Amino acid sequence: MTEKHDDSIKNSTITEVEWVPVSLTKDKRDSDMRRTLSSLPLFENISTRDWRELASLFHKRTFSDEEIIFRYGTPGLGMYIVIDGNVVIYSKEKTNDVEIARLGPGSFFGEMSLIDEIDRSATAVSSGNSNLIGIFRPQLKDLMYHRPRLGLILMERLACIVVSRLREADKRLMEYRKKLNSEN
Amino acid sequence: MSLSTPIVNPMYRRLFLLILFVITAITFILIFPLISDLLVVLVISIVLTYVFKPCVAYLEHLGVRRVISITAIFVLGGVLIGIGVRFFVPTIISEGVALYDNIREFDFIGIHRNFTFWLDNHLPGVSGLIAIEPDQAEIWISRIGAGATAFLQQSQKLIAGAMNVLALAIVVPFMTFFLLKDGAAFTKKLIETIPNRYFEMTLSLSYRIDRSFGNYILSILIESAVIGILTWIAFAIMGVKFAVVLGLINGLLNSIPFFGPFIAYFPIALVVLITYDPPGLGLLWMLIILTSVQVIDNVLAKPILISRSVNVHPAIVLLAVLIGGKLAGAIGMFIAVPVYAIIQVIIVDSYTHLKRYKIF
Repeated sequence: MTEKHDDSIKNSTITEVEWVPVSLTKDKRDSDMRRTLSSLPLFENISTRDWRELASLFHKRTFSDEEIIFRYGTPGLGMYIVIDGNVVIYSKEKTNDVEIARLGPGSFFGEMSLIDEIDRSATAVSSGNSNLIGIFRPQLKDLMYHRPRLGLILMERLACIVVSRLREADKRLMEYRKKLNSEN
Repeated sequence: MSLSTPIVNPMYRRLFLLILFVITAITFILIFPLISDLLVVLVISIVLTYVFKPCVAYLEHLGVRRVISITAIFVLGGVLIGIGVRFFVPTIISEGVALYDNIREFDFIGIHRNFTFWLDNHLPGVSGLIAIEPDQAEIWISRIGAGATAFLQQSQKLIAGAMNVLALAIVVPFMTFFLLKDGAAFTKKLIETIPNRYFEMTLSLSYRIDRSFGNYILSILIESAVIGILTWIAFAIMGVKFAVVLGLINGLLNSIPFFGPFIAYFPIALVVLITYDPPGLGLLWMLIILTSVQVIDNVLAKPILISRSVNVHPAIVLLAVLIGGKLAGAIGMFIAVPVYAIIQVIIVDSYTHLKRYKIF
């Protein structure tokens, strides 16, 4: 479902713009948020002006323990980034919900929903109190029209993330096949 | 914990929708008289915001900053309004005044007499069945005239009650400017107050409603303008008097779905009868022109403006127009269908979203 950032994506930046720290807000939570976001491959090396533009996309959400972030089968609207706290991802198998991942600060999930409108393939639940940042498809689409250059940068990075995860899933699949063949 | 179980029992789904619809209708009828003043200002500002929004977005797309884009559009709008006031308004006023004089001087009683005479010669006994005596006809004509005047005065009172024209001219541009500049940020702040359970649903819903509303308003305006201009040009070429006023009437009435184009036939036919010589040929030209404009609209304009397709049932259109007319006169008639369409989009989309997000 999700992973922490990987170096191959980190190096695939389009424009090398010098990163300038921006005071998005003054409190500690926002400085944590800025630090966390700038460490993600999606948002690194973003210029001051673009940061301001991006900040208007972010939706800060706070979830309490065991609160559902999104449900399996509901329409996917966007991705979430964990700023602090933990999130557990459950996959639906028959009638049971099986834990498939536990995510901490700096992790992100639901990024496929930024590209297309398919339903959520898992349920995300907050473990303890958590602060998340949500980025959603309608606003990203607006950004792509209003600021095409920044929109293109984000979409290209997003594509890199998705491709890298697809490669990894292929790799795992190959390993399982090999394992199955050797067992037979 | 079962994470995919719906939160609300589906048993209550239909009941909830029914209650929602009834509450919306009752609330609107009850609160309208109390907030009509504010509503006029707000509706005009929102409509203007949606008219200018695509232009602002396009300028932003070209790299112009939002504030500069909005200011540039306001300046351009001011210049266009100035040109309109300088060139078109005097024409419309002079044509309107001349038309009013013509109607006042028109011999309706004479027409009635000729019509009764024609009926007696060709269809004996029919005039007796209709039983319209000359003095009755006069009473009916004066009643229709008084009714129409009162109907138009209702809208005039509504605007006058909202504010005087000068205040309106200041408040509306200000409100429109800030809605264009900060509307999105304001909506975002508002959505952030929504509880987590309904957050994604509300965000998605707000975008869909925004899109539907914007497309609907814009397509109505474009279609009305196209119809109005085509009517004006066609009547001017055919040498019919008051072509600008006729174009205006046809364009405005076409904003009412289904019935608008038919309602437009009556005032236009009246003007043609009074002013064109011979009247029969004038009526023939009118039929050809109005039908051609409708064909052009249906073949060329409507397929392009597909987004206008908010499906409203004809019976509901009629009901909405009647309620709108009763509440706010002529203005009410024109805004009734868009207001209903928006309420319908909100209710239907809310229902679909509640279902899709498994809250129902």
